[in-house]
Amino acid sequence: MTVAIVQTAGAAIAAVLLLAAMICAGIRIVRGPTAPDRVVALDMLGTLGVAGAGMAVIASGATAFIDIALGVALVSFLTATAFAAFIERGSINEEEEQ
Amino acid sequence: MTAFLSAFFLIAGAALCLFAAVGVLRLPDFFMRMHAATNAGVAGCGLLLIGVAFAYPSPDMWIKVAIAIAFLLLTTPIAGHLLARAGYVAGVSLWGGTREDQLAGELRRGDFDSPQTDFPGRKTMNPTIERVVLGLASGPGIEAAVSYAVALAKKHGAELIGLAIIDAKTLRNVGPVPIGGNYYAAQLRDTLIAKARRRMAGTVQLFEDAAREAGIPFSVIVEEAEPAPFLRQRLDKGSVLVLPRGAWFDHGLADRKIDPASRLSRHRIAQVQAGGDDDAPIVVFG
Repeated sequence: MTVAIVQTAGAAIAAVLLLAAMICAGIRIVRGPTAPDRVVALDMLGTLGVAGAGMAVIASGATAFIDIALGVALVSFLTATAFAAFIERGSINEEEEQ
Repeated sequence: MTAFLSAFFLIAGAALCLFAAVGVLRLPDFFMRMHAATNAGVAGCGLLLIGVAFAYPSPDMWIKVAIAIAFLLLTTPIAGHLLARAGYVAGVSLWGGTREDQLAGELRRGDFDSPQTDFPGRKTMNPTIERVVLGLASGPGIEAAVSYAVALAKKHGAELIGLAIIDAKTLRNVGPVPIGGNYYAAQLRDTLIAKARRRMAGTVQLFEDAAREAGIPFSVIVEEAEPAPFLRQRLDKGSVLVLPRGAWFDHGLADRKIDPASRLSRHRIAQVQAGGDDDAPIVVFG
């Protein structure tokens, strides 16, 4: 009995903390102020998405969600890499000089 | 037992994730935010996944969780390093309290494709301030810039100069004109420049009021010039340049929004941001 309560309460607290973290990252994405700031917040949101997929395993009992966590981690890494290349080639300096 | 372990790891992981996210939200500049995101994000996520594995313990679950954690540990530092490098190269401004920039001279900042030239700004860490030069560009952040410059000049007993520049070249560029439209294009140019003069007069007024209220001597220079090279000329030893965060010398009238930070870094003027707010003024040390 207590075991079940501990498990449910732990998962619930963790879910609330994760939600708060996602909101913080979301606010940073909206605020910017520069593109790299937004990309870092997006990368953070991807990492939180991995954690969210982990929470989905607890919530639904379907262990297949852990594969989704792997997939989200992969995609979020690729996103960060692509954005980094994009910024480095000069998204900030988009206007031509003279 | 596994239930208690699972709850512990879940809460610990989620709490670390929350700390990281608060860091991303609250830290003052891009590089610190990146450090918070990658550092604590990985640890928090890894702990949370261990908690999940304790909740449904089976060999293949443990293997998958181990793979996921190994992948996170492998990729997140790489992604963080790439993003930091990209941000530095693109010219994201450093926090105003930064004491040492060890990458200065190692990596190019600003314009990535052209060779690096002599780099004004940030050569000394505690410069003597003899002149405070304030760029009077109308737009968001000008109030913050004026009050910062006035406070700086008062603190150091420095000469306060307001630079009112009109970027006439950008304003004259009204884009392609159809055949027979030259008369209207000329009219449009004249109206834009007249409007820019009016806005600039308002900004100069704001500056004069603030300086008079603080009771310090000041002077205003009005000029019609290309802003960035002109600013660079004024930036000799002992002077500090203060610019509003979101405004440029088109006075908000160019058809595209001009970001002052990227303009400055394109002309290879190294800048810092004075404080963590979004409208904190840009500061350049001569």
